[in-house]
Amino acid sequence: MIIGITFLSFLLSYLSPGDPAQILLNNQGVKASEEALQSTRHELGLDRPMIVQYGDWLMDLCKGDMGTSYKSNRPVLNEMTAKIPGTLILTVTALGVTMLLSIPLGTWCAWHAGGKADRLIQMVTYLFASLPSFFLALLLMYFLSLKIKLFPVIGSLSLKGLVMPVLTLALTLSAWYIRQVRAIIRKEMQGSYIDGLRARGMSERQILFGHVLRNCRGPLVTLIGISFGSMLGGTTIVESIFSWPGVGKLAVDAITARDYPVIQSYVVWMAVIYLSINYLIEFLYPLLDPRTGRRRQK
Amino acid sequence: MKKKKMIKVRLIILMVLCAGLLLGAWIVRGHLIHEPFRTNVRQAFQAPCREYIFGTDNLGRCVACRILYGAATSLYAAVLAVIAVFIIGTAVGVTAAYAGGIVDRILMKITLVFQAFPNFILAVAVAGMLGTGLKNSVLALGAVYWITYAKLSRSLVLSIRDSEYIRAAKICGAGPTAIIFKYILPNMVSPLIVTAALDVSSFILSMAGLSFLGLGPSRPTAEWGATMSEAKTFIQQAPWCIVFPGLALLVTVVIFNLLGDALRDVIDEG
Repeated sequence: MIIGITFLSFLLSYLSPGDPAQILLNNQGVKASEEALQSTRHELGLDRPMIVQYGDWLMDLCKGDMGTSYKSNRPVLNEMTAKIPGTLILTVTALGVTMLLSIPLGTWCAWHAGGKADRLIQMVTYLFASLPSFFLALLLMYFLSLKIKLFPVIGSLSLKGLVMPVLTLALTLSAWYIRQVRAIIRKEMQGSYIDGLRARGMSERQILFGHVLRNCRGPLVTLIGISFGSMLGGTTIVESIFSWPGVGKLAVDAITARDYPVIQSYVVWMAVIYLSINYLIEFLYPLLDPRTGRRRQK
Repeated sequence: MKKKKMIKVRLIILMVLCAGLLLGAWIVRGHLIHEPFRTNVRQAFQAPCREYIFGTDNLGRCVACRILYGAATSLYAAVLAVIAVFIIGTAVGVTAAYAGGIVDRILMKITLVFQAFPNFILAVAVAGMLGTGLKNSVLALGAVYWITYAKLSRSLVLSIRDSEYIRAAKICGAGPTAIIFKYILPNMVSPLIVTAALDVSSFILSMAGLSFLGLGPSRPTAEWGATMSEAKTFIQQAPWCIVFPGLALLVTVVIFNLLGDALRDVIDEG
């Protein structure tokens, strides 16, 4: 798996039409003569067969060397590790807000399915799911920052600066989440054991909190794994709109500057984070839903 | 019975609407009142008025005309791209499932690797590496979207492959090509089409996202995401330059989403 990820990331830059030697020399302000280009290519090892280049790159990667940024001339690893906390703070907070918003709302909708409020919420979430996140971000920026000057336009690593990016991410994701939570809970409520509990005279509240929600913990946690990727993807847009100091913005800036090593390591990092989250959830699942664990043992 | 009819009517209305959008986007390009690219600085930052119903931008270009002009770019790119990934992904999936063995294992490993990346991030990286341009952004999104079709069609083929009528066809001497095209594909196409219909809207969204980041078609196109990205710098003076393209995008995405849902309902009802 890791080989596949790294190979694809390597292939991306290998296949890109830009010539790294040219970019490097341009950034250093050197006029690129054919000789200078040749020697730089040799220095970078670009004149060797592809598989050798990949092997070298992978070896360096294992040693924690992700190359040097063409733009800033600093090790890419340092640039990335400086920015990763920013992105993680953003995603984790946004995920937390999303859960706080969606689980109660989704549960409520499922419990009152078909009612007026449920239909209204369904409609609103449908609209929000079709809303581009950058449009939402710009609307929030216009109303909350420029009109009533509640929050700063530029996100800084502070509580106030965190509000707008988190709000954008959380609102877009919640639209999808609420619908999923509603579907999960509704499915669970169709189980025949619910009728049994009702027949035994248990109160609706007890059924919901004591049984339905308990049984849904597993699927609800799985949602996090599924959505984490789109959350990370969303940070690229949100970070560049609000100038949030994270890897998403770093990557977008790197793309504008054709800074391939940075883009490359960004892709590798994101894939690794995404995969680790999903492995973690797979590991946690039997703990939250012991039924699956026992079934496996059999 | 009545419900079934309602669902069908809804689908037909939405299909007509979408076809109308596609056709309209094409026709309207030649009949705009204002030239979408002609700048006229004296008319800059006009609020929506009778002459310019959606106002003008920083260079005095008519926002409404630019929206109409840009519609074709987003719509056609999305529809054609979805058709392309549909064909490529299905071809991969069918090949994997039908060939089985090592071919299947290799192809599935490849899809797994692609899946390891968060979708939008992979698209951003591919577009970033290839450089800007409509073709490259479509390629970048295609690199992400084909996986769904490959996986779905593979599982569909596997579920049909061992059924009795396929065995019967084999006994009657039908070759693999005939079996795939005549007996397998027609029986698995509807779930794939539903996926494709729902993908059009998500393609439009991602495409707008890419061009918002400056990775879409190179300027001067009036692509909606790119227009909004440009307008971000003067959001305070001219919010209409963002609101109207944004609404156009929202309405388009909602319509295609509704189409996808309607299609799914019709097929589910059988």
